[in-house]
Amino acid sequence: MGESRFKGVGLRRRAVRTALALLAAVLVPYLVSLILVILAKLFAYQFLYLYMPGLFLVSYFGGLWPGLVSVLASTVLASYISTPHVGNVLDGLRTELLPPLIFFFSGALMALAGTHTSRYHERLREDLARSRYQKQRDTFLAEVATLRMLQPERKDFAVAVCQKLTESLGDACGLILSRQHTGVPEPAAFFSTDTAGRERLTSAFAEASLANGGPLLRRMLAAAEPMMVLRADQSIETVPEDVGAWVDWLARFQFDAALFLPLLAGEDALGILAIFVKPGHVWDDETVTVARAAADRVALALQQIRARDQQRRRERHTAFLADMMLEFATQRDLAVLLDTVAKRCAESFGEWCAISLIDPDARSARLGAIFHKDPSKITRLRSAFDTTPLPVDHPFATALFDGRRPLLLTADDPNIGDLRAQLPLANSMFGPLGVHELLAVPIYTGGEPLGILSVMSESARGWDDDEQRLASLIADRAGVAITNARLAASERRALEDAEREARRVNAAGRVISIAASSLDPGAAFDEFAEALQLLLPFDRLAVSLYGPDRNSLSVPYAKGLRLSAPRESLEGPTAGTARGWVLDNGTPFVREDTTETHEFTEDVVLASAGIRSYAVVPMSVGGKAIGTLKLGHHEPRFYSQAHVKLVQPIADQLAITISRFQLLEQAQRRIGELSETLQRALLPVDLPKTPFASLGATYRPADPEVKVGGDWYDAILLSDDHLLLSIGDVAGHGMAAAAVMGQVRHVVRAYAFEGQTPVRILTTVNRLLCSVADSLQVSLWVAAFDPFTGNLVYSGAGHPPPLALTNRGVEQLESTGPPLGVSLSAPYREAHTTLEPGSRLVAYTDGLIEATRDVLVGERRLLEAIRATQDSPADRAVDAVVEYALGGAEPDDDVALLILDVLPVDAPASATLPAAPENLGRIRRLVRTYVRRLGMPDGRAEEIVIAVGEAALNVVEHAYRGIRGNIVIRGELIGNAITVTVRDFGQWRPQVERGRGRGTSIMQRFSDGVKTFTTPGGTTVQLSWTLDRPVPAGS
Amino acid sequence: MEASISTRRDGVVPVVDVSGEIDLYTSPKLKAALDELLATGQVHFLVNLLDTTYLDSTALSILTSALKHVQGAGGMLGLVFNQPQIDRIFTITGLKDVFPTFVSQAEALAGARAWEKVASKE
Repeated sequence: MGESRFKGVGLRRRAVRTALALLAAVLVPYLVSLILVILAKLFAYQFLYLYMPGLFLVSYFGGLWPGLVSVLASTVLASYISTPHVGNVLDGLRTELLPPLIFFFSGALMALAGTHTSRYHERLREDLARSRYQKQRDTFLAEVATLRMLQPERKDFAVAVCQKLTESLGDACGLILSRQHTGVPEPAAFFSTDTAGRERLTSAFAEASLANGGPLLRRMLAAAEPMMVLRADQSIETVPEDVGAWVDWLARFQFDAALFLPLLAGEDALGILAIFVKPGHVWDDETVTVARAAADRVALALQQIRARDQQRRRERHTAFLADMMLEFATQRDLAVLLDTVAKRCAESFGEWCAISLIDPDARSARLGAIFHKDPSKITRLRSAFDTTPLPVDHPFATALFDGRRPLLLTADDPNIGDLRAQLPLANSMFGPLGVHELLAVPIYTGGEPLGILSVMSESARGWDDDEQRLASLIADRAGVAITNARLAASERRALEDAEREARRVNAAGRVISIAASSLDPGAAFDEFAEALQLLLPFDRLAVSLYGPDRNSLSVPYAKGLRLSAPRESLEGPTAGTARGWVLDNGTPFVREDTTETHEFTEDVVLASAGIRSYAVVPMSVGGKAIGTLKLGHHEPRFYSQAHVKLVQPIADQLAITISRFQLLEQAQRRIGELSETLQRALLPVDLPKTPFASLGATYRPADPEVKVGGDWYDAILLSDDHLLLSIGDVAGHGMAAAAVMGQVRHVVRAYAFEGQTPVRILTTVNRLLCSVADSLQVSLWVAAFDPFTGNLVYSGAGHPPPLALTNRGVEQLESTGPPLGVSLSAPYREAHTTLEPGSRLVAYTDGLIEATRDVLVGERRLLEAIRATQDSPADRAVDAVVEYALGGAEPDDDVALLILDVLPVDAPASATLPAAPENLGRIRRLVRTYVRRLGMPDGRAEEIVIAVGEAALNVVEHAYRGIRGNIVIRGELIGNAITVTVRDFGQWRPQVERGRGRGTSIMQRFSDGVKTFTTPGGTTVQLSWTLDRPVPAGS
Repeated sequence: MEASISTRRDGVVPVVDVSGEIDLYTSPKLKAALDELLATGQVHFLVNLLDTTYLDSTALSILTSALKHVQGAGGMLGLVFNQPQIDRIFTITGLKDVFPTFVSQAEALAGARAWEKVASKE
């Protein structure tokens, strides 16, 4: 940088100029004269006037006096030269005074003119220079002022200012600016012309500023003249310490002087401008004035920058606040919200931000969110917070919350040491974590402390009122947001609980509906168990029912979804069981751990199956417990009262279902019983036993549920040992037909017992049925069979004629009249046949042959069936015939089949009768028929009858005392002898010999042998007659 | 097993006609008839067993008891039968030696007249 125009404008230059001018004043005329003399060889004053311009120039350049001197000199010289001979000046003057005077005065005038012109020119020049200077000054100042436009940022502006001022005002320039709200000056920029040492100088300046900038500024502000010039050669003893430091600095860095100017804008002291000059430079007032003007402009610019920065900061704060408000408004996730707030606050307010929330249980503030650019620092602060949180009752916390305004802590505080000693958290923060300043803002909810928003800086940043207000606003909003989020969370939890409850209710409802809708709990139990499992897990589910005496338990339904059944059964007495306890106490029972007790049977049994806990819930209907529902689980303490509450309505519904099922079963049983009763009432249970004939019968109702229908068979033993057979078919089937059937059957029986013949029975029943309006059509076949003679007298009405299987083959009996109930005047007739020993009568209803839909086929099958079963006894043959004849087809109509076998002559004959006198005749007839059938001649037959008669007489007279028992007569062929046994079951009284001997001797004499066996249970008398030749079998 | 007992008094002596089967059940009728006769003081009568198809020891007892009665009164009770088995019964029981037996009604009446004559002689 060259010399500036503002440097040392003054004395030195002027001296040189004067000297030069004097020299010119003397020399120039001499030279000019010399030239004139030489040239002109003559002299005339007129030629001297050619010198006028010279005179003008001399005084122009040299000033007035050099001009006058030059005039004088030239006049003297002219006079000297003008005398005729170069001689004396005075002589010359004496000769001609006027021309030299005129020349002198002219010359003097010229000199004056020159001087004035020179002065005028000089003034002009000065004015020009001044105006140029002023212009430059203004330009400079304007440039300084507009530096702010070029370098709007504070830091850049400071650097630019230093550069600019260094250019124009000195050799180095430094700027110390004070922080806005703390007023602490700190070096902002430094510039020097010394490019090599610039860095060193900058840091040295910075150091010095930090150390001594503050005091210097204060001193300047305090002083009347806010400006200081320090010279390196100033004596430091006379100046205060801080000033002296600067003086030292100047000396050290080889500056000659420093000009310190305060930067003042209104009331604010914004900093210090320092201009340094190296030796050899000097400031004049002008420079100082310029410097001060520059300083003013810098101060103004700084103020504007500060204002703009403040504005910017406000805008930033507003934008920040708006962003944060948006965040608060939209972010529902509390964790995300706090993280965002921490991050943004850390970015805007310092390096750290931590949000801690009060944990009411722990009575301390726990970390909610934390942010720092360096994640490892986050980890460290988080662990410091976790291990040593801030207790809620610590004075710091109470001060914060009671005061309701932010608290500031800095590392420079005098009390920080105490705090660090009391709070390990504070110690970590201000120590290893490098926090320098901390702003703690309380967060409230509804006036109650909620937490703390802390922003921390690692430098002496400080927070102005705006920032603190902002932080408070954010803390307030955070308080609201946290409260809202917590409310939302608990709302959500409540909603989830409600949904869970609803799902549970739905699941419960589903279980209940399964329980309610199933008719058979057993069939639906699997489905029920699986639905219940979704509601409340279990490893084992069992339903127990109390027995009718309420002293016993059965377990009709049980399911283990994960565990297998216990090895021992839990059925048995209620005593000593949890279920009995439930019955006695009427409340549910929960066992927490079956391995801890042996109180109940269930504890032992279930524990062995791996079930550690169970709940037993009573199942009640109408207030009365019918049993229990038990859930078991392999974990101990799995079931609670809440679970019991859940299960109770299900158990109650299950109770209803089971009761209903039991009632249904009962009803069905009753229907079954009813049917059976009906059946028993309507159908003969036992076929009468008669000698010489064997009966078999079977009945298949079309509706097996009802068990009776419109078909029937009947076989009655009449008083004279005749058999009355009937078989019939009431049109239709089911209960209605059965009812009519019952009536008809009983009417037939009644008439039969009266002794009416078959044809008369039919006629009478027909009259009866015809007299009933809307009566059902009935087919009927009635026969009276004398087993002693084999005579069959029969009559039929609309009924398929029975078939007789004889040694001639299968024959059909004679046909019949029309069905009953159709025509009052229907002619019914009687028919006769004799059934020989060994023949079989098969009576049936048309359901048997109509099952195949083709009657011919049915009939054929029936014939085949009869032939195929001819060797089976009657009672087995009936079922075989039906099976065969149906051939697997399901009959639409009822099927009844009655078989009467006339036993072959060699078949045993027996009868069991009460041992009463009136039966003696029957016994005789039995024996007589038996032996006659066998071909005994009459005489011998009578002898047999007499002998047996005596034996029977004995029994009747003597076997029983008091209550009359039975006598059994049995005739059979044993070997080649006819044997008739007479058996009784009484205790004989001692034989009273009173004509008794006759009976015995008759027995003995009329038979081939008499054997008597007596046991405590009765006596058997066996009489035998040897046959001359064996009786051919089957004859 | 019907049995019918009737008493004829229009002959020489009363005749009790027994037809059918006489056993424990039906014998009271016989007994009644005989008792009735005895009650009237008859000492001679006949029991006609020609239509009797069966007799058991009860009947025998009744007859023997009646016989004792009439014998005690000096009378006679005669039996009429010809059936082989009835003959056999009386034979093996030794009662044929006790009762006067006849094989036909005519014979019986003749025999009865003889008693009457004897009786009236005394």
